[in-house]
This record gives sequence, structure tokens and C-alpha cells, in this order.
Amino acid sequence: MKITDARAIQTGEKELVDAILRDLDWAMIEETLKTKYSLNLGADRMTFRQGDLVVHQNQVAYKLDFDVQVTLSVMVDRKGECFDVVTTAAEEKPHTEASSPAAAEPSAAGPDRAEDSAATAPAPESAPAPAPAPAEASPFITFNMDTSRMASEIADLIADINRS
Amino acid sequence: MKKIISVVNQRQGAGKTATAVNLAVCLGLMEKATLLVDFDPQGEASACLGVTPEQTSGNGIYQALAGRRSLADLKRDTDFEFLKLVPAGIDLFAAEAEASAMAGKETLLRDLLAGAETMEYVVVDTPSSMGFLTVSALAAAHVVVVPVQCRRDALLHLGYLLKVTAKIRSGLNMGLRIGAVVFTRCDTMEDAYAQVDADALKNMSSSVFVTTVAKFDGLQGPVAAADIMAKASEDYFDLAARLVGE
Repeated sequence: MKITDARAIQTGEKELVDAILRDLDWAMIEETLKTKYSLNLGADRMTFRQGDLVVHQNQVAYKLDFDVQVTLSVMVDRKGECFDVVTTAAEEKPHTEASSPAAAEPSAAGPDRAEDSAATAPAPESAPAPAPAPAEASPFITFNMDTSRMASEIADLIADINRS
Repeated sequence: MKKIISVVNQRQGAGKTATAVNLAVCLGLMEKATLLVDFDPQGEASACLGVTPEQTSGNGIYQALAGRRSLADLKRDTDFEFLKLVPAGIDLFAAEAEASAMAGKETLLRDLLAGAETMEYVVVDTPSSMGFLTVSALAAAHVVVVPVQCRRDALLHLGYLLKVTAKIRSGLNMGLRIGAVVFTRCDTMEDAYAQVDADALKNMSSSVFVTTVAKFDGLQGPVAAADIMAKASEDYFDLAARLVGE
């Protein structure tokens, strides 16, 4: 039973989303991405995809979907094991960690990634603690760790990932 | 709204394909409209559902990634009324090389699956590596299911995988979360406690659903269909029910 013109609804919805988009505080969005997700992204690296009216956490929300361009470097060691993935933000962070032996040589990700390997190497205990993103808060899990500590680190990683 | 479940572990022999296929079959048997996407060039999930390499040739997920055919066009029926399959063939190896020069390549699968609107669940089986295909599956997923072997060193590799998952969550897929850690070829949690570490696993269970799937051998096709009374079938149904209920 159709009781109104669908085009009128669609046009109204589009105008509503356009109006919200026009008034977006991009500086605030950039700041949120930086503080919450460690992503240094300008508006020029975000493309609007679609808008929708949804219910989120028991309240009406205007959901705006963006495609975000992020450089993602996958770190592979000499045994072929992937041991880290570094986002644009992590690469751009000033890093104070000491260089590891692996960082002194070109990594499997390419010669230009050697510096990045240093950025992702576990910091020595004496180094000043940086302010890492939640996912980076856990020290690197190593085979020498006792099982209990290993599982504890894994539990922390999962809790960080599943945190809404 | 559909839920995309990627079954991921970069280690060979963790039980990814068995978990992906059986999970998809269980969801289908629970009358949930389910699509299994074989995202492993070895095509074992496709083979498990009776699709031969000859049938897969030119009809696999690579054709959609390359923009030659639509996902709907590649989707095929299975023996299960509510389960569809997009198979994979050896040509999927080419996707990695071809995608390396393409911006936004990691979201190709996510964009493709956005079109699978008639499905309630999409299960993605991934290869044993952490390359483009696995990263794409993580970027597309709402939920990750991680099958692991029931032994101590599996925890080490699980740690690597979680670090990568955390990075992808912060960079590409902010809605991504870990849905379950599944100890495969392990009859009970008590066995897992004995083989890994009881306190450690109980600690892990506070953050995520940790479960086991019993060993099963010598069956043709998915155990959930071939022997519904098997302990492994019961375990896979429990996993499916958990993912449906959350």
C-alpha cells in the first residue's frame, strides 16, 4: 500500500544528509581520528560514500560512511612471518625507540621500510614509555614468554580489539 | 543487516577451511541465508562442497575482483538450500599481484560483499598467509573467527594475528572484532586447558568466546552434514548459534 511518492522521501533524505555534511566540523573529525585511532588524516584523504538514518545505541543517528585512504605496511620477517602492520599514523609518529638489529637491514617489505621496522620494534624496558595506540600497548609476544603471560597479553589484545 | 564472518589464521593446518565450511553449513541448516566465499586460491572450501577445479575455472571470486563478473553471477547453489557458494580457483593468486598497483585494494572484497544484500551471513575462508587476500578479508569482516591448533606455540602465532587485526581495525575497519577463538581437533575445554594452560585460557575467555571443535576424520564433505551426531558437528552448531545469537 503505497501512500506517498518514494522520490519525495529519497530527495528529502538526500537533502538532510547533504545539510549535515555541509556543516561537518572537519577539524574535530581529524582530531578524533588522531586521538582515538592514531590516524593523521586530512579531509582530502576521506571520501564520502553514503549517509543513512539508523538507530545506534538506542538513539536515532545519522550514519555517514566515508572511505578513508590509509597506507598500510605489512611487516614480514626473514622467516616469512608477518609480525606487524603499520598504518600511516604510526609511520608519521616520531619514534624514540632504539634500533633493533633487524632494523639495520632492509626488511622484506622493501628497503624503504627499514625505518618503519625500527618504529615497530619492541622498545627496551629502559626506554621511556611512548603513548601508543591501544593495540600497541601490549609488549610483543615472544616464544620465551611463559604461557600464562602470553595468554594474558592475547586476552588484552582481544579486549582492545573488541572494545567498542 | 548481514554479518560478514572471516575465518582467519596465517598458519597452515589451523583448521580454517574446515571451520569456515562447517560454520557456513551449520548456518545454512539453521535456515539462515548464508554465502560462503572461498578466498583461498587452493579452493579447498569449494572442493569440500563438491565444486571441482574444472567448474571453478573462470567462475571464481577472482573474476569479481577483476571486475569481469558480478558476485551475484558467480554465486552458485550447494546441496544445502540456504547456503550459496562463490568458489575460488588458482587464478586468485593473480589478484595479489594485480591489486598491488591499485589504490584502496584492501577494500575490494568489502565493496563486493556490500552487494550481497539477500544474505544474512557471509563466511569468508582465507589462505594461510597474511597477504592481500587475508587483509582484504579482515577489512571486509564484522567478526573474525580464529581457529587455532591446541598447543602452546599456537598462542604465539595468535598473538601475531591479533596485532595485525588490531592494526586493520584502527586503519581500515573500525567495526572489526574478534568473535571466537576455536581450538580445533580438541574434544573439550578441559583438554585445551591441559594442552595449553588452564588459567591462561580462562583469562582469555573473559575477553572472547573460546571454544573447541572435536577431531573428526575420514569424512567426505562437511562433518556437520555427513555425521550430524558427531561431537564436531555439535561443536560447530554451538559456534554458529553463538555467532547468530550475539
